[in-house]
Amino acid sequence: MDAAVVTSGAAGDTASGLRPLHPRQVQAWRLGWGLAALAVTVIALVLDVAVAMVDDLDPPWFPGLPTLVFAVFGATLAWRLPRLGYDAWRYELTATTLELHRGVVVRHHSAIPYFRVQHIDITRSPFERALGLSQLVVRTAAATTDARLPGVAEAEAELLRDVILARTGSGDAV
Amino acid sequence: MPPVSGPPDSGPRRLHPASPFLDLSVLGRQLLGPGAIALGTGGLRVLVVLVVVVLAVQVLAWHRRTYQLGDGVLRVEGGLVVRSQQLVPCERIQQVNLVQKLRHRALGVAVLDVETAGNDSGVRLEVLDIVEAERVRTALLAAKAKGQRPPSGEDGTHREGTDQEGEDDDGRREGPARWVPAPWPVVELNYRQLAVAGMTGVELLVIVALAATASQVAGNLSWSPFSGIDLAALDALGPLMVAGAAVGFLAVWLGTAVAASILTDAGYRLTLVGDELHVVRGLLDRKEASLPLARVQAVRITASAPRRLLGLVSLRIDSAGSGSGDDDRRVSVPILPAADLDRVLALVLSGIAPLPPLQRPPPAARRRAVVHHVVPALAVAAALALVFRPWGVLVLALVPLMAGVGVAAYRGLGHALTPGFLVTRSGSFNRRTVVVPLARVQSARLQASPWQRQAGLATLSVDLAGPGPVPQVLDEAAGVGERLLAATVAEPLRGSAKADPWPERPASEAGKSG
Repeated sequence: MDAAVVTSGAAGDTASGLRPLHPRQVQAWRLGWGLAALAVTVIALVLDVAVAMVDDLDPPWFPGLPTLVFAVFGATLAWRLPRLGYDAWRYELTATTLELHRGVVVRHHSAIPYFRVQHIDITRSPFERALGLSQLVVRTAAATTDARLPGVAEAEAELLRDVILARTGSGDAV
Repeated sequence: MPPVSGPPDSGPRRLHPASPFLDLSVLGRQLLGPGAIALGTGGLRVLVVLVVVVLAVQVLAWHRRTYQLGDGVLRVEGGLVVRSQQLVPCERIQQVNLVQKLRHRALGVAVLDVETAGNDSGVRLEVLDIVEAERVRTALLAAKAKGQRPPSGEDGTHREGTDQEGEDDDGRREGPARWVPAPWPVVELNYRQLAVAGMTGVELLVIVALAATASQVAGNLSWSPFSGIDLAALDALGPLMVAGAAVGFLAVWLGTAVAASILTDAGYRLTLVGDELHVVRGLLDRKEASLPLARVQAVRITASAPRRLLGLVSLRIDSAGSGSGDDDRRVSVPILPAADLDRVLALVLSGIAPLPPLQRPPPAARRRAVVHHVVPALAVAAALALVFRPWGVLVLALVPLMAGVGVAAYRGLGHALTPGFLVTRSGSFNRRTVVVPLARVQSARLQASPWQRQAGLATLSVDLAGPGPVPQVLDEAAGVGERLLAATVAEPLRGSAKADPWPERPASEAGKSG
């Protein structure tokens, strides 16, 4: 999974096929999910402490149990989900379309013809920047088009963008 | 820029001199705050000064605001403090609307609304003399048609250079004058048809709005219509009176619906002028919309249950410019005999064949439709039955009813893929059919929830540049869905060249190489 694959795909479409995201994307998602799980756990902890401080309130559960449950549950989710999501993700540059396959629970398969592409954004969240990853957001004239491609190595993202834009043509697609 | 029709374009022009005084609502809003302060502090004299100042500002703004059509670009300039300049390349126009409210008709002026793709983009010229407005509209659409046609095929990427290139192009093709074809009537509606439309359409709800307003007014006056009525006396009058009242209410109900329908759509005419659809309608407020055929993004056909019984449908023709639900902008046919549908579609969507019978999704979709309707109903009914014992149990009778609705929803499903078009239908009570030219599909998505996967089903969504809900093929077999996905995003270059009068890509490529 490197720049060579993309360029060969651009040249003749012979090397096109389903590609996985960059493996480091799993870490990026784990960081995001982990933070969310941490936030929920902290809230649970605060509530737990608050309940424990009120004397009259005698909760039927062991003090600190909710926090523990949230922490374990959150950590498990934050560890497992990104891996599942990563395994479900594939993208493909076919001769005429960009195809995205994703989704663990609800499976999505999006197809965006190159010649409909209006512009392409490359975004990098702090986590992605730390891991050297980028996210490609492909826009068409339809507001409902769903075309986010996460987990692309920084250098490759720009290459990928240029490859797609080169195939876009310059028609007024509206 | 050579004159397209009428007087030549001689530099920037101003709007109609009545413009600054016409929009009373804007004036009122501007005066509301200062007016209240003035009345509070200085009285009438300050108020008069304020009115004069506001009017002066409006007049100055009018003085600054100019429009000019040339080189295939509509240029609108204005602004008192912050100067603005708006350029609309004519080939990018999606739709042109001409709106004449009652006050505009009294003065012989109109609002010209030029729409491009995107939310609230484009310009609004408020107001122009009606003759001038029609001239500008004709000129805009002519310039647009010229820009669209190959081999000139300009596209937005050269917006900067349009001045010179446009000049060049115009020079080359100046020779033959533009042939303005005679209007070809597509649909005309008389009062009887509009009355039927009102009595079977959403206009039936107008009375609810009226009643709400009336009750609010009555509430403000602290007067209740029922306070003087003696129920015992009503009882004495007998069932005859009650029946009479019911008939009276029905008459008022249907009457308001018919009146609402006639108010908005009286004199409805949909015509085809060359490559443009042209709609005129309205009894008091006159509305006209012009939509180039090449800009049609989708045609939505709606048939409610009563209309299906009467063999009637209504149509909505979407362009990427027609904002979501804005009444002034919609291009629609309020009522149409279903037998006439194929004829109208053939005129609006070039290259379309008569609608084929639709393919229904597999039986697994029926189970899903029933479950979808029954489960929420069951949850609500069970809750109600528990709360309102013992009579709440009766609510459970709704559950089989919802199962019936689910079956009806399944019967409403269907799709067809014809050369150049995707047709999809859904809905139980209101059947909604959408005809999408494949040349207008921006992207497509196939999605499958775990339950859908278990039943081997998937739902296809088709993304369009226009407003309105995303057309979907619901619960079709996964294999069929994949095939549809591939077909909808295939490049419409060779396969359905007929469906798309001016295919974008060859046009622009020819333009570049030439």
